Amino acid sequence: MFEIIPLVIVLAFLFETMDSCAGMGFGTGLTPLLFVLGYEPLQVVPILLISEAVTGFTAGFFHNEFGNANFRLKKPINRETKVMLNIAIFGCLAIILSVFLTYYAIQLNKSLIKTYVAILVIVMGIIAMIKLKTNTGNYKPKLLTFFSGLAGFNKGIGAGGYGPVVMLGQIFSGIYEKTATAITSFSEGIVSVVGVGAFVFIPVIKNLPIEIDFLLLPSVFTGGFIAALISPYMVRIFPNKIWKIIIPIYALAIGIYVLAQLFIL
Amino acid sequence: MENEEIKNEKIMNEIGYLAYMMDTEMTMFERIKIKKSSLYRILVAMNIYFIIIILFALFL
Repeated sequence: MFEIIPLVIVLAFLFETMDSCAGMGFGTGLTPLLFVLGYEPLQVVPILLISEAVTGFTAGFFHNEFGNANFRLKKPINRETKVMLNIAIFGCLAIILSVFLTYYAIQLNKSLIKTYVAILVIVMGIIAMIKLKTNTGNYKPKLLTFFSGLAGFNKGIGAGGYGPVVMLGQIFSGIYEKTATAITSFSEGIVSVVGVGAFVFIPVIKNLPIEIDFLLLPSVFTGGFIAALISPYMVRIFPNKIWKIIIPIYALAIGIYVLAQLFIL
Repeated sequence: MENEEIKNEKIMNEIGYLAYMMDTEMTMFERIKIKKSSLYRILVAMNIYFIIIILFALFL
């Protein structure tokens, strides 16, 4: 059924704009809002993954085009590409685990793990705000690997918050904010492709029907795709000091939003 | 002033150097200007988007 839903287009556009500009928020922000609008998890989760797969690659490509990053997929690959692949590998392993846990109905205490991720994001956001005035310093690869692993672990157990942890982790590891955004967008594209694959193949292996409702796809895709074209250009135009302020504030807002959903809404 | 060769070397090996260089060596108004080839790529992307939407309309 082909249907265009204007409200969903606007929401997808807004959250993808922030996701491609600040490296976070598409899944964490949009998913609960679509649930509130009355859509079911199987109408939302795979559609967001499909959409994020396309928009992640699109945003990554245009971040590269506009000079926010310099990805090089031909040999010899450069350090920015290696960092992106490093983050993507952890994310891919995590999303396979996450889909596996969902299909095998392994129950974890969702509110407990979501609270943990929300607090982690809030603390990281506060630290990033405190560190605003200090220079980010040199690139620290071990710290980055730690944060990639941590973000992957969180995603794997279904707690989400992958974008904020990866994004702030890169900033703590000394990566320039604009480049960190580009790296996050591109790696989220790769992770989402693997996620879509896992959503299709795991039920095939288990001989279960693949349950994907495509109702929201045209709307989410439309909003997300337009945002993925505009956002890298916005990142290019505005100076890094603006993103340095926006990213931790937005991360803090996401953390508080997740906590509010759990305990207030 | 760094010469082009050193800059290219840094762009390849230092994470975020290209974005940093654009921030420090270009004004905001200079960054607004984009290459013609980038505009063509945006147009190509928009065409791909319309093709995908038409496919959705046909098959969903």
